[in-house]
This record gives sequence, C-alpha cells and structure tokens, in this order.
Amino acid sequence: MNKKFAIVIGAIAMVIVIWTLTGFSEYELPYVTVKELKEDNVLQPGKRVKMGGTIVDGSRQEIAEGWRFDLAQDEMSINVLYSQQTVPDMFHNKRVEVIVEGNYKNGEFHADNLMTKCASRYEGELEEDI
Amino acid sequence: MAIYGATLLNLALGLAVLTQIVLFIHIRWRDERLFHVGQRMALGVSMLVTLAAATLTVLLVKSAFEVDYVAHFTSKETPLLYKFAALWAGQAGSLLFWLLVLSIYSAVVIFQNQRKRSDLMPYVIAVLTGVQLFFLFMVNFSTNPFIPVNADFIPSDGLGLNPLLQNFAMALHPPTLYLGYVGFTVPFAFAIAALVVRRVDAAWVRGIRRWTLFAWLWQSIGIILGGWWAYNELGWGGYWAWDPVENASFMPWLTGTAFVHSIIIQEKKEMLKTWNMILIISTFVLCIFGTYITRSGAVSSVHAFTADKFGQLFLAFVLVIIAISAYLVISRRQVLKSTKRMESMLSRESGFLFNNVIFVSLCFAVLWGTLFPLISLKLMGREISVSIPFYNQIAIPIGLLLLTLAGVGPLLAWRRTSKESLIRNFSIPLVIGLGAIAVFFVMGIKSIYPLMTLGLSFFVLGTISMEFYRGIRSRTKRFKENLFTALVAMTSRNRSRYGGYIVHLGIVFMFIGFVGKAFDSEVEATMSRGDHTELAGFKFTLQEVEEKVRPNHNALVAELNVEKDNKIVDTLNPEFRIYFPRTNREQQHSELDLQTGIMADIYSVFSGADHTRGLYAIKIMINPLVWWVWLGGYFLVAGTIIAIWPRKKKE
Amino acid sequence: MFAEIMILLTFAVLVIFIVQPLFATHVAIHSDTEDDEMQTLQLRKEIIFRQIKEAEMEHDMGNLSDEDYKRTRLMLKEEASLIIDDIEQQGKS
Repeated sequence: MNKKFAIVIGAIAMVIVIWTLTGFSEYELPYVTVKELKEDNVLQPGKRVKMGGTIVDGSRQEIAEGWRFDLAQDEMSINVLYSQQTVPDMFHNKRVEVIVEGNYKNGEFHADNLMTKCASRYEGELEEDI
Repeated sequence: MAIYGATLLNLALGLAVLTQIVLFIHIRWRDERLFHVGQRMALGVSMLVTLAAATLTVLLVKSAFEVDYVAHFTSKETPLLYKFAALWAGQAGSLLFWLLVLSIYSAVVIFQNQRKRSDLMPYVIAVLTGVQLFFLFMVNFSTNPFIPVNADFIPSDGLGLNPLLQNFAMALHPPTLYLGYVGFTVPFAFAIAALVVRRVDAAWVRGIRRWTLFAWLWQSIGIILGGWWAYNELGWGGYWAWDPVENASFMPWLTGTAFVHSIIIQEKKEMLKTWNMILIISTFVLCIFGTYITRSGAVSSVHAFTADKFGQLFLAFVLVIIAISAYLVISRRQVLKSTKRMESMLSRESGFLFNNVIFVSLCFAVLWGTLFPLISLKLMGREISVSIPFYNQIAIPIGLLLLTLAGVGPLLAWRRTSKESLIRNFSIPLVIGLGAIAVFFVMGIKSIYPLMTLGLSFFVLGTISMEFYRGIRSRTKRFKENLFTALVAMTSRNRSRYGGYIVHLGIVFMFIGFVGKAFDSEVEATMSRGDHTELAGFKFTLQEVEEKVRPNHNALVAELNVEKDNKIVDTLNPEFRIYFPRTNREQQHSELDLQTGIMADIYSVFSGADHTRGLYAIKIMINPLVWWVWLGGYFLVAGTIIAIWPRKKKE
Repeated sequence: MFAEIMILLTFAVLVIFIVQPLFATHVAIHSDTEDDEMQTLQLRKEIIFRQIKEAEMEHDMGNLSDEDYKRTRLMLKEEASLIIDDIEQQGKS
C-alpha cells in the first residue's frame, strides 16, 4: 500500500478517533449515589447526572406533570420528580430497581428519563407443597 | 435425569480435553489414524452436548422443579412453546445453548470436509473444540444448568417466565443472535488454522464464504428482531437506544460486515490479507464479548463488571484469544503481506479498503461509548456513562459515508476507473440524488441530516436500479429473453452480485426509515370517556374503556378512534393489564396498539388508569417511516439468501 | 438406576465409535504438499478466468468503458498466462 493511501486512511481514522474521544463532554452522564447528592454536594447544581436505587413502596404519587416517588439507596432516600406520565410497566412492582437521569435542584431530583432494570424472572420464593 | 445431564457435561469436558491431546499428537508425530480418532472424538463431544441439551429440554417440558433452572424459569402454567424457549432464558441454559449450536456447527464442518483432504482441518477442529472447551468449563463449574434446587423440598410450582417475555419475537431473538454469534466461530477457526500452517491465500477465504454469510444473516435477523420487539412491546416508541446490550450485538455486526466485503478482495486480488485476519479475529472476540455482556447482568451497573467469577473467566478467555491471535498474525506477517499495491483511490480495491476503515472506526466509537463507564470508573473513580446523542453524533455521518460507498463502490473498476466510466455510471444517479434533495426541500424538510440521507438514499437507489436495468437489457439484447426471465437468469448466474445489491437495497430502505426518527411526535393526555386529543393533524377520541377478565390477567381495553379530516381512519385498542391480580406476583403491563402505515405508524399506549374516577392516561405517538426499516430488513434477508444459495455442482 | 444405565450405554457407544480408526486396515493417506500447491494454482486460475468473464459482462452492460475494459482484460490475461506457466512447471516437477 503506497504512502498516499496510508496518509489518507490514517487521516480518516484519526479524525474519527479524535472526534470520538473528544466529542464527549456534553454527553457525559456521571453516575452518582444518593449519599453524594444529598451530603457531599459533589457536582455543580444543574449538571445532568444518572442515579440508581429502589423505589420506596408506598411513596409513588401520580401528579399533574408526572410522578413523585422516593428513591432509596444504602439507607438514604431522595425524592424524585419524574416529568412524564407514562412509566415503564415495572415501575409499579413492589420491589423495583430504577435508573433515573436528570438533575438535582432544591433538595429533590428532577428526572426526565426513567428506566427499570430488565427482569427475566420474578424475584420471589419457591413454595413447598403442603 | 438431571444427573444424567450433568454427567454428560462432565464427559463432554473430558472428551474435549482428550480431543486436543490426540490432535496435538497427530500434528506432531504425523500419525494419520489419530486424525480420524480426533475427528471422531470431536463428533463425540458434539453428541454429548446435544444429548445434554436434549435432557435439559425434557426436564423443562416435564416441569421437573427439583432442578433449580427449571424452577426459576418455568411454572406449571407456562405455555409449551415458552417451556422450550426457557432453554435460553437463563444464564446457564443459554451457555448450554451456545455450546449446542457450536457442537452442531462443528459436526457440520467435519462432515463438509470429509472428502477434501485439507491440511487445515486438524487445526480447525482443534480451535472449534478449544472454544467448546471454554464453554464446557463454564457450564460444568461456573453456571451449571442441572444443579438441584437449593432447598430440601421439591417446589410445587416454578416461578415462571415474566409475561412481558412471553412474546414470539422475544422467544426467537436469543437463538437467532446465537446462530450468528456462534457462526463466526467457524471462519475464525479456519483463519487461525490458515495462520498456523501459513497458507493464507484465497483457499481458506473461499472455503468460509458461505459460513460467513450464514452467520452474518442470523446476526442481522437477531438485531432486527430485537429492535422490532422493543418497538412493538416495550412502548417507548423506538427500536434502538444504544444500550450496552444492543451495542454488544452491533459491534460484531460492524466488523463482520466489513469482513464479508473484504474477503471478496482477498479472493480476487490477494490483497487485504492482514485486514481480513484482524477483522475476523475482532468479530469473534466481539461475539464472545457480546455474549458476556448480555448474559452477565453487567448492564445496569457497571460495578458488577469484572467483580464476579463469571466475568473474570470470560475476560480471561478473551485475553487468551487475543494473545494467541496476535502472536500468530505478527509471526506470520511476511506471508500476509500483499505483493500488489493499490494504485488509485478511485478503484474497487480502495473502495473496499475505505469500507474497512470506516466500519472499524464506527465499531471503535461504539466500543468506546460502551466501555467508557468502566474506563471512567477505573481511571477517575466514578462511573460516567454516555448519553444517546453521543452515538448519534458519530454514527449518523459515518452511516452516510457508508451509504455513499454502497452506491459508488460496485461501479468502480479494478486498479483505476477512467473518467468516462465515472461519468457514465454516476451522472444519472447523481441527478436523481440531487433532485430528491430538491423535492424534499420543497416539501418542507429543511434539516440537513434528513436531507442528506434522503439524497444519498436516492443516489444509491439510482445506482442499483441502473445495475439491474443494464444487466437485464444486455441479456434481453443478447438472448432475446423477456424481462422476467432475464432478471431471474441474471440473478441466478451472479448470485453474489445481485444478492448483494438486494441487500444494499434493504440497507437503503432502512436508512429511509431512520430519517423518520427526526420527525417523531407525541402527546400525553389524561382522558375520560368521550374526551379527545390531537396530534399531527389526527384527532384521537377515547370512545370507551371496557373491563375484561382473562386467564392470567385482568385488562382495561380502550377504544380509541382515530380521525383525520373528520373521517375515522382507524380504531386502536391499547390495553392496561394487571397480571396475577391480588397475588404477590401482581404486575402491571401496558399492551400497546399501533397502526402501521407506509408513511407513518400511529402508536398508542394505555399507561395508567383511575378506573373508579374514569380517568385514563393515554400516550400517543406518530412515528414516521418505521415501516421502511422492516421492509429493509426483509430485503436484507432475501438478498443474503440469494447470495448464499448454492449452485448445482457440475459433475 | 436408569441414569446409570444410560450413562454406561452412552459411554460404551462413544468409545466404540472413537477407537474404530485405530483398527482400520485401510487408512487414507494425506495428500502431500505438492498436491496442495497444485490445488492452490488451479484455484487461482479459476478465479482469474471468472474475473475475465465478469469484466466482459460489465463491459457488455455498459459499466466499464472501452478503455477500462481493455486495460482490465489485458491485466487479467497477463495474470492468467503467468499462472498457466506455473501450473505447467508444477506438472513437470
């Protein structure tokens, strides 16, 4: 393969690689814990983050703009305001792990994206025949 | 019976080890009989694995709840089809299924090569058996499907499969993907064998052409089925989310597609040999990686990535493969070097080279995004993931580049293309493409990416149509055949070429479908009976909500009238279901309803209900051009089948 | 009991199947390297001839200009004659 080719190929590849590595920061989504958000004040307010935890049973409230619920993780919990009415089916399960994306404002988390962990089976207990 | 199954797996593991030893002795001491013994041992491993998989299937169908796997993934009321499908529902079963497919493929490869006395075969069998060895190790020691339930009683009923997953597409999605993933093991085995014996010419590439296309076909079907299921079942209105599991299936597809194209050049011009080695090795490694990502639960939190045994073993396997392959490629680099050089950038060879570079670059970008959470965790102590716009920002321009290549590539000549050829081949398609841009611009589409995509799509459509037209015309002139006969004869005599064009046609349709995503619209409304809402010129009226009681769920069925220009064009019936009501397994599920149209889908989700107050939450989406994605999928499959279809051998 | 019997049976069948070649009186001899070389050359020749036909077809269709066609054909015919020479050499040795 002659020099000219190597240069062109190298250039194309370089462009794409550099673009990949740098075109990044606006799309970064750090994963934070509830503790970090409430206590440590790690991130600038208003920065978009990702958070996971379990929905506290009984805390789900349907409101005008969407839903409110408490998200628990490691014995701490945080109130989440989700701005869409439609939620994934498993949102309503008794024990469901979710991941929310959004930002933290005034002591509550404003989420615009909510995902539930895909369950391929039930969490439950096997019962004996009596 | 579970003991029988477990013992079979033990025996298979032992026999696989023996096979490697025997083959090694054969290679070292050139004892011909040992090759036959080794071959039969490999077939024996296949037989044992098949019997083990059959045993697990029987246990599932008979609801043998004393087996942990059966109790977790089926229940008494699970329909028969899903009892079968439970074979690949869980981690242990799906690894056994991987093994099963590989065993069958290995046996086929052995039978296919009985007559041909190729010196590659001992190594091919050794590699195939070696990969089986890894999976046998995993199912014997790490995740065994036959272990009994961890209790001192036999459960009266199993936990059963989530109703969400009891859906045709979801049942088929894993096996189709595995048929593809595992399928790439065969070309990989031949590649390694070719490297070892230093016979890296056209022979090995020719031998695996059909296998490669076969694996690629199933992989493509698997990916499309996954998207179809997400769109038709999950209710968020899309078919692709750049989710780690989706990416895990997409990356080997990217390098696999590059490989499918690149081997054409090696066969005809003996160039790109090193590229092909790297491509097939990468594809195979990514298939193993993809299997790991999908089955390990590393998805939602990357913290689980290498922490557990399962992950570490897979990682070790991947590293071993990379190490051995790298050693072989580097030590054989002299034979891999091409004697020919590329002369012009406007030649068919260079087109394929650019193709390789672009596909691999896209794969790198997706890999980077998928692994970034892990990388950031290790380097910065915090897991940072990447949101969807990152992927789209890179993938869209690269996709457009590839689309361009699909149109330009086939019409370039070998070594270099004369100006005359360029003008002759591209003038009309160029005009069509530009014309399309003008038309769509006038019709109201002003954003740059949709316009470019449509323009390029029509450009490629132009080049493909011209190819078919010219081919048919030359036949009708020469052989006086009619249009249809000419088309069939021409395609039949050049299956790779025209099959390939049909696949490209499918890709073009899919790109047209992707354009629709830029124009999605949606509305959410809480309605009572008689209320209506509007979207994109349609009026949606909630006529009625009925209660229905069914065997394993209760449902609220909405009757949603869809009107356009004051005429009812359709009625949608999305449902709000509660499965196993008033038990501790109670679960809500929205069963969406959609009307498919060539220009757009009308998509409705019944997401919540306050039945006592008669208030119902309905989400409606208008998703343009989705139909074109599925149409493209059909063309892709049809084209590949044509390309694979064997000819009758001339005696 | 049933399981043990099935295991023994499976094992027995397998062993018989596997050791059979050790007792075979006639064993196919693996082709030696010369045959392989010949095979490779023949394959190359076939591929080149197929490409010549393809170039003809493309020219006929109008994809390939006269200039490109002449050049491609010349290049392929050169390759073909080299291979044919090699094959003859192999045949003599």
